[in-house]
Amino acid sequence: MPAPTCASCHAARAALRRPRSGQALCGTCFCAAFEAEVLHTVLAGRLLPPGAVVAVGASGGKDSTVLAHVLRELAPRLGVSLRLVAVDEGIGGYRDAALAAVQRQAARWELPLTIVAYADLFGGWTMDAVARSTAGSGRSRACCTFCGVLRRRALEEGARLVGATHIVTGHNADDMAETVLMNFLRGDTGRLARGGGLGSPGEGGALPRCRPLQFASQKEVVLYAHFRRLDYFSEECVYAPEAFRGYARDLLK
Amino acid sequence: MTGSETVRRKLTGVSCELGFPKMAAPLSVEVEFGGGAELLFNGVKKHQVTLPGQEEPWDIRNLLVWIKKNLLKERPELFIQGDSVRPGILVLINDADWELLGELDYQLQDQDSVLFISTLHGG
Repeated sequence: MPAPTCASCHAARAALRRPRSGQALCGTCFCAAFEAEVLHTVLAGRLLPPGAVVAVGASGGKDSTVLAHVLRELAPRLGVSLRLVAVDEGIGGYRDAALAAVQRQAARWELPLTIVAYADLFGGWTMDAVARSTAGSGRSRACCTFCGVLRRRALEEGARLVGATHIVTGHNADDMAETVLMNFLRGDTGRLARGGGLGSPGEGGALPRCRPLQFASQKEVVLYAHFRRLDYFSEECVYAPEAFRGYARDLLK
Repeated sequence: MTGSETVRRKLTGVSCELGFPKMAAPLSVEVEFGGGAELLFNGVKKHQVTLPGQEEPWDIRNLLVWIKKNLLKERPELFIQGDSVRPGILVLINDADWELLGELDYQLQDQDSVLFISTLHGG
């Protein structure tokens, strides 16, 4: 079965079918549509006003790589400036390689990069140390539970260090769906009630943060990175197999 | 038995003896792994493979069987589930999503390029 022609330019062969609309698009038209949708998400939600200094949570992974690349393209139109902030949780054999990827990206994009380490912020506690201390403790809590909280705090500190007014992270639609499912599975009505918005305006003095990719499916994020030939780090965190999120992910897949 | 049936049977016998089974010619295809999937293949991303000539045409379904037998170095369950790829692994054939081309039923052509991208990791 030959591939259909692109429904947008009617010239090139279609490379994919968009999950929501079913529209068949070529690589170029798909990337343009993807960028237009991120721009729309930001503008319609008034997420990043002109003049904003935006701290981009950068892990070197596929989502934050696509996020930083797209925002860099859109920055002149939005009138915002970007700073990359990477968090070093102190996970040996994983985070070092990921940070090397972020450093390459920062050089290629000519964006300032600040790295904040758990060890400096949290009195010497690296994730490896947390994992050692929670292992075999009899509590059924994986070290990931702690990491999520600490990382968000670290991102806040890094953003303040660079004088940011807003924080963005690369969470995609699949991540959002997994979170909703996780909260159902745990009966976490508090989180279920608070979630679902476009981001947080920043309570208790915290910086406003949002997720410009939150309506993009994970598959489309990966395909965008492929068609734009973006280089990202793609190994799984050594602790990931323990995370509760894995259950939600398996169910959704 | 009538005379014509005997003739027919004899002719059928002759054609079986002289007939050759239809063979699909060997195919040269590029198989590529990305997004972390390459870790299951000794870290090698690009593989130029020659699929041997066989009676059935080569499709993605039997390419996967061939990959499992000849290329996959460890933990097949992380790449293959049933007769397809594990959910979360994207398949691009000549840079197009396999959904547009018939998925497992797509029949491979010589010089095709098949790319498997894993999405199963943090972002």
